[in-house]
Amino acid sequence: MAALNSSETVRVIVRCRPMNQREIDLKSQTIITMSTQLNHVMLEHIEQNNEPPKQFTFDAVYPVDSITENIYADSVFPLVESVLEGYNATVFAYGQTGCGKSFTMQGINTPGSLQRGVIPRSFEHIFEASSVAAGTKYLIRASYLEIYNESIRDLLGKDVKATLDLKEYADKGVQVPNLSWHQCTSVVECERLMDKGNKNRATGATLMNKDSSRSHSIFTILTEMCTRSELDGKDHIRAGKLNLVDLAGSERQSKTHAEGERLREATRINLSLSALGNVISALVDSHSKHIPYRDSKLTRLLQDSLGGNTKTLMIAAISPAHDNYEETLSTLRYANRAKNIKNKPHINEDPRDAQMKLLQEEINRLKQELINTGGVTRGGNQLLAFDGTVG
Amino acid sequence: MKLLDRYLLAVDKCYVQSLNDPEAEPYKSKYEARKLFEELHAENIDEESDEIKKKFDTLDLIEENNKLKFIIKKPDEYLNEPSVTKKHRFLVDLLLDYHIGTIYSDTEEKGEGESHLQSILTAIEPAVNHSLICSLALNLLNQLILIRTSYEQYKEAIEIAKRADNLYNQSLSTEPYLLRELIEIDSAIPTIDRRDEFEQIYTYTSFFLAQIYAKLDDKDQSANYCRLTLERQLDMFHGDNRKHFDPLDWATNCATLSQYYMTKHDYATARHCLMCADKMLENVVSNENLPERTASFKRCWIKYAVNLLSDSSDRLLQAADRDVTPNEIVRSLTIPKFEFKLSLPPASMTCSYVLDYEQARQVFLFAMEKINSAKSYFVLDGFVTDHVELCQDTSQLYAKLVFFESNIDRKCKMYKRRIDLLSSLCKEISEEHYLYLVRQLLFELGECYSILLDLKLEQKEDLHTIKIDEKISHFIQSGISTFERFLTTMNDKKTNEKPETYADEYIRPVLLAHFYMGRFHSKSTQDRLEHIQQSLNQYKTIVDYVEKHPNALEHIEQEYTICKEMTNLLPLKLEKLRQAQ
Repeated sequence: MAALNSSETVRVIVRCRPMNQREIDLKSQTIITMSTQLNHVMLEHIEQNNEPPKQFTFDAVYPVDSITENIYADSVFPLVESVLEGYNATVFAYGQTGCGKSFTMQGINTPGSLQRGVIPRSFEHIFEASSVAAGTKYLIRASYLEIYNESIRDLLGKDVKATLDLKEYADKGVQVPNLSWHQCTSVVECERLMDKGNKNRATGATLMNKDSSRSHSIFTILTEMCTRSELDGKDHIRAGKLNLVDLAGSERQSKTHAEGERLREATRINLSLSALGNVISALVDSHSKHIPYRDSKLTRLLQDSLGGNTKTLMIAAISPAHDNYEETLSTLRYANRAKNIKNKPHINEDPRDAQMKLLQEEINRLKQELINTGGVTRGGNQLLAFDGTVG
Repeated sequence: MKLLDRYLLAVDKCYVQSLNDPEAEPYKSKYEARKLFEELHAENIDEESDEIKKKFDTLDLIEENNKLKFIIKKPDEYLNEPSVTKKHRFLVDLLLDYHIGTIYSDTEEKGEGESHLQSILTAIEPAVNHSLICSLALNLLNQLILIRTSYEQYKEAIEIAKRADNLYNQSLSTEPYLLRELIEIDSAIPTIDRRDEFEQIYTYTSFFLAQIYAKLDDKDQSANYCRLTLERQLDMFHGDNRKHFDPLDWATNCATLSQYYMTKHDYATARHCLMCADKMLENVVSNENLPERTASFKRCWIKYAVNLLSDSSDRLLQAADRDVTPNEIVRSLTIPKFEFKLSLPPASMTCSYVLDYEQARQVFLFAMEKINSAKSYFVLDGFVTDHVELCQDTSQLYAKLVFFESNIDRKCKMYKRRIDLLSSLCKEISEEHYLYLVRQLLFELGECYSILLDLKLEQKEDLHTIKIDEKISHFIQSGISTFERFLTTMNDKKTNEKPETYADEYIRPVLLAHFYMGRFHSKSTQDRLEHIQQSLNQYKTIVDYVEKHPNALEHIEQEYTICKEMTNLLPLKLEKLRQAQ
């Protein structure tokens, strides 16, 4: 497998849901066309017909008649497999409300349903593996956190209002100390935890008078697998982490507080002066610089994913209706940018002119040496023996 | 309830309560507010105060093309419309329509919104500088700028902004009544408060322009309007209007702006911005972000120093190459493009390019002090990424300083410092969690071994000792194992196999790693046969990769020529060595 493979880049797929009843009643027009062969999404702007449709390319596109079973098999299955092998994987879900994000991620939760969501399928995948693996003990734990306005909250903790910190440990990577982890022994237990967290998310939103569509949530399943080796009789532990990230929708066109976030796409004008910093930092285009405010908590928390060691998938959900044009365009642009969110290493190179000169001198010397001792002819590559005969 | 009270309720619903609208109904409050505003058209206005009557003395109403318009009453002429009530009614209706138009625009009915707003503008255009009109006009223009921008018609948006500029400049001595005062003037509000509110609206115009120019990719203009926005915010601060002003925010933005000018090689302006940022921090009253931010500004200074040294050495090199004086390459700018109104202490860091070791050393020491200070906040265990970057900055400072040092012994010592720093870091952080950092560190470390090796070889020519030989041997070993480890980090996690193809951003470092290893092997004095063979293998690996991936050539052209030569010459040398044995 090449370094070009999916652990070094983000795989981005887009799914379009079918028109819903409201849109059908309103006689909405379809403005999305997809080519599953070319993996293109085309977005038309009905009000401006002389404009060509905007075209986006992704790793895979799923039109209105697609089924989640296929999406899982194509894009999610390899990720969860790698988690079971002891690696980390992250799935981002992005989309405006009502564009099918929940449908893809949660779906119709009946076992066997073709439209059962990505999340219950992942749970099932993991627990199935744990039940059939002979000789391996599994310890599966889950955590659920929310990031709102750059504050981290434990959605499964005792005090849902308490904010938690991020720490980068030299040995363990980025962690949220004091985040609670809960053991799960079945798919049902996992789903219950998620429900509980979701309720807390909603309650918290009302209590604190906040806009829950502006928060990100991360549900993490930590799978620890312990195998006793036949070779040395010792226990070998592998641990894989699956992060399921539900990303906040982009800001609405209103005077809301803007978040400074690398992933945020910026086609709209920011109305809040709190975004001045973002505008200025977007101008600074060089490696050797320092932007003096923290990278967003989301970015830092998922550093493993962005650092190149994790398989990463983004699923963007869109609606086909023309009255969602702005939101759909915004989602497609966001997803487009997501292809490049991996940290690119900047390798500092020392100036090498002096060294290159030395090397060239060396080559000249080498050539000279070989000529002098009769090892090479002046013009060609033929080997001349010491006594002058050609060998 | 009075009209004013109902109006204020509608405004609150539209702009404040809407922030809490549920995800499934994001425009609930706005739709409700729109209804409220529409209803207010039918609501009676209270009798006008004397103050507002006086204002209407100079504001006239005419009809043009079947549409009503406000105009400034010409001096020595009679009013066309003497009824204050009529004029007031019309004005209030325009105000309500303004909010209604804004709501259309906010709720994705931009076409409808724009036509509402445009017709209001037409109705007030001739009288935009009037104290009852100017605030409404400026707000309107801002809204139209936003709508135009959302259609990506940036040039048009900029034209509208120019009208806002004119309006602002012509209204400097006008009393800009607040929007709600168009219904009822509040005599309790001091002029200065009205003035501040008006200024704030215009600050938004600057801010929007900064973003528009950014979309047009005109970074200089964008930076200019960012600077203007900051300037206007600073004016508020000085005018004791600290309601909207956050010193920590302002300082942070100023420090960020410095980085823009720094990357443009404008060190005078960059330095000024950083000094202003530092100064403004003094006005921050206990804020939990203050320690982190203070440490962060130091990092801006560190980058400043690294960039200044780097540009200085480039300048001297270019001057030497072209056989001209450094000034003929580029002159140092000592005057900043602009100055914020803050009283600053004398500068403790130069903004001119450095010419020699002594000057470079000053910059180096300044930056090292900032690094040590920043590191006391950004400790390794807790802030791995930040701490590592600070160490990389240290390494870079040495790398830039060494250019100005001519003594080989001292050069060696500097490389030794870099090696110690980088190698201990590599041992302390987890490769699994900080993969891309580890790769950066290993590569830089390997390069240091290579350059140090060259220096030792140079020293050996004058001073041949066993100690030097041992050192040389050590650097060769360490260099090879460092680059080997670097390459291993690229292997497949499961099979530990080398990739067939490397991603673009890794092609050069990977091939260079092989190149360095080739060279390291060739310098070994023992087991010559073995090492030359290894050397040849490394050069072959590079040549093979480029043959299989022709697009890789552009990343490593210069070195490739040498590799090709080596793959031709080294087999002959090997043959020679074998025969000699």
